[in-house]
Amino acid sequence: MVTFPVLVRETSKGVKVAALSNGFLRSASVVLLVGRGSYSDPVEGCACIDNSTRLRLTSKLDPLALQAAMDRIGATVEAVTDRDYMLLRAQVPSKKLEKCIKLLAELYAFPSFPTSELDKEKASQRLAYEKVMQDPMTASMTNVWEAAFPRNPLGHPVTGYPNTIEKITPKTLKEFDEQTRRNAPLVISIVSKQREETLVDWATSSFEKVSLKPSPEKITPSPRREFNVFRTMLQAQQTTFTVGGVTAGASSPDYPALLLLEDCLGSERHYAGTLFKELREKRGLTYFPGSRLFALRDCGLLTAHAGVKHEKVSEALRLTLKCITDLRDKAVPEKSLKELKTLHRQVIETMLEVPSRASTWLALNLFRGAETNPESYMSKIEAVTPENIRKVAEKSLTSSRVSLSIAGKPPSMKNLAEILREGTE
Amino acid sequence: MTDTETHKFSNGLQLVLEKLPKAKSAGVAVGFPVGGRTEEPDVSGISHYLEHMIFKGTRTVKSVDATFEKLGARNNAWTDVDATIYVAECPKKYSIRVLDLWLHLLSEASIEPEQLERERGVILSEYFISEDNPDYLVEKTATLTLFKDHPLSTTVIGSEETIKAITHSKMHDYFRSLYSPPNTVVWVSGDLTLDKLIDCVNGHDYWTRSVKGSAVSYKKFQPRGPSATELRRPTKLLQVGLALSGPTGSAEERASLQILGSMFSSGQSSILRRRLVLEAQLTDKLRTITPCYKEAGMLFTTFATRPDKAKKVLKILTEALSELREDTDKFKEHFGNAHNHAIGQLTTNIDSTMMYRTLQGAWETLRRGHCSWDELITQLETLDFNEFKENVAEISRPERTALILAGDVREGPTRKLQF
Repeated sequence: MVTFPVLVRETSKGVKVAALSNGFLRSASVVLLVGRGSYSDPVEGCACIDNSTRLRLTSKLDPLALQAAMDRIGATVEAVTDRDYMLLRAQVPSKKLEKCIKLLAELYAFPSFPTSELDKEKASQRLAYEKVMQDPMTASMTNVWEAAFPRNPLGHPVTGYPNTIEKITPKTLKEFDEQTRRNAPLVISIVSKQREETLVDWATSSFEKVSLKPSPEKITPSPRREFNVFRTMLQAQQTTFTVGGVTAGASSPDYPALLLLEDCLGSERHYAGTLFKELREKRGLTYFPGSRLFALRDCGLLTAHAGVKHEKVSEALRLTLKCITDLRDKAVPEKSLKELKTLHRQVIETMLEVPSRASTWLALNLFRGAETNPESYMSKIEAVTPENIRKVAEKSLTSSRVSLSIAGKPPSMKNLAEILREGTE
Repeated sequence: MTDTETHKFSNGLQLVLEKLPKAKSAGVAVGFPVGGRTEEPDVSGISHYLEHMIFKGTRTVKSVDATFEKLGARNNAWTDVDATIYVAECPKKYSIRVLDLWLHLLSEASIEPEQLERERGVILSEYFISEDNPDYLVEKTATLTLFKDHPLSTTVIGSEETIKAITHSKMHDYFRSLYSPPNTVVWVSGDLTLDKLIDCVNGHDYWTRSVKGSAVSYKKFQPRGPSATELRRPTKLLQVGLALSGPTGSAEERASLQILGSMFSSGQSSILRRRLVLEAQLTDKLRTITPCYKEAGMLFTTFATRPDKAKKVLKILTEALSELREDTDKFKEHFGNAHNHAIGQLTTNIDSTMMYRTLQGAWETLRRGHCSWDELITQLETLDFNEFKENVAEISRPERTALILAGDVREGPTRKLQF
């Protein structure tokens, strides 16, 4: 393992900071992660609006002044909200990094939710929801959460629905935000060319006024008896389906085995997994098959997806379920697992040299209780056995934990239910 | 600070090393000036199809992905209007072997008829994704519309009809005529030495043999707009694309196009972001790209809006363009911020993944003949407002404009458009 000297500190005020230095970089990336997301929405869409409004204005800077302040330092800042967190990620030339960290501290500390600006942000979020729902691929991937976690706050889209977005008021947001800033964990991660100690000092001084008593909410998926199917009818050229299995979270001892299970199916690290081989290479059914593990702190969702011509849905879905159940029923050969681990390590090492990816990886792992030290992370990956992978597949990919979301021109509910039942037995 | 070293082989193959002291990983790219612009219209999409076929292997390398993975490498490839580039990122220690593998695949690809047929399904699936996603749909239609009557006028992926018309013999001939040494750029980023890369290329007879000239020719782009395309789609939202063409002959022209991109639509305080997102809330976000091809550049921005807001949106677009054209001084106060934003974007793009970094390096070299990040940053830093103003007056001319709408376009809003 190549050494990456990640420095992790907790400030006296309860803020966790991770820093990684890399001498050849011209740019830097900072992630400011607040450990509360759409799972805690008092009204669906609240966390997402809270986070994105921060990029619109603060109580000290009006919208135009704030946008100009970001451009002045050449920073691109984005707001990303998920089920368990809200994060702001900035990419900036490394010589402007210190100013950028101070600007992020202002965004965090001085939110403002005036009605006029909130109405604009709400209009924006409704549009974002509709954009996702008009494309079979994004609709299917978003709705799989609804299929996997029905009647649970994990299920709703992070953006909320148009009718719930409408109900969000400045008062709701203010209360949500105050509660968040009091209790939600705060993590800052920075990757740049300056020394790690300098990076940590900049973060500590910029956030010195923050004082936290973090008490993160436990995220609990509701128990399910059988799989759920979510159909979205769209006039499209292809139908996309996403199969989801409820898993353990990133803080669980199962997490390393889950990551390798995702690799087996076909992850961003190893896209040529079994789904790619069976659906794309052998049969030419689809351009885009793959798997994603969304591991929150306490639970997660492992998905497998493919977009195919409408008439090929049944065939492709059966094959996908076969790829999944094979991993549940048979242990991965030792040799293949060894190769996967080697690739996994090398991909992580390469990723750690990319500022935006490395800072996001550090922030998420620090918040979710996974390893932030690359060597320790890899030791846990190395320790995974074929039987560990089979067992996590068995836990997650049984009919009682599998769900299906499908968008386009799907077969009837009855047919889909039959395919799922037969395919997961 | 990083810089590049270059070696040109006697047959025209160009090798560039971007030195990254102490980098633990490396990126390897091999690129060709082969893309939508080098295709005959009846086989539109053949460059992209060929890119897929390269991954089917050779007589000795049957499983391309597994072979890369054994070297800890992740690979990918991009086909654009004017270039196809194959890239991989890997641990530094395997970089020479990764380059060796690319050079082998790109000279010895077997392209078997049976594989070609199977891959057609995959290509069509990718094509249908581009039809179903309004954002992709408008982007691929932008170059087609903006550069009409010029080789740059292409969707790159082709159509269902042209993809189905590509035969094995056409594919084979296309591959052999265009993937040749004079057309090739090899770009490597990492903590490496040029000598070892030269030795690696010298180990391949195919890439060191003598070949007469490049089979790719270029033609000056003459703007003939304004032009517009409406695509009727059963979506609730209307996807809008606005494209401007710009001359990219000089460094000042290219830098102007990049800074205009920041000032017009990609900067957080850009003109369109202010008017469409922050003030009128007609869209949630804008996506902007500013590719600088050899013959022309493009500033393309796209966003979704509600169909009933189309008139208002088009009014804002036309007003913004005419202000840029007739009253550029009005934006002088924003020039500094746009300048900083463009530099910020370039530096963060360079430090993106090794794959993307090498992709951009190879692209820039194919388009300009050379590439130095320091030089590009300096060109942005030193551009003054007067030079910028002159170039913007040219770029914002009505004949350099194209509008693409996808969605519920029954009212034909583009026909009423006054540039």
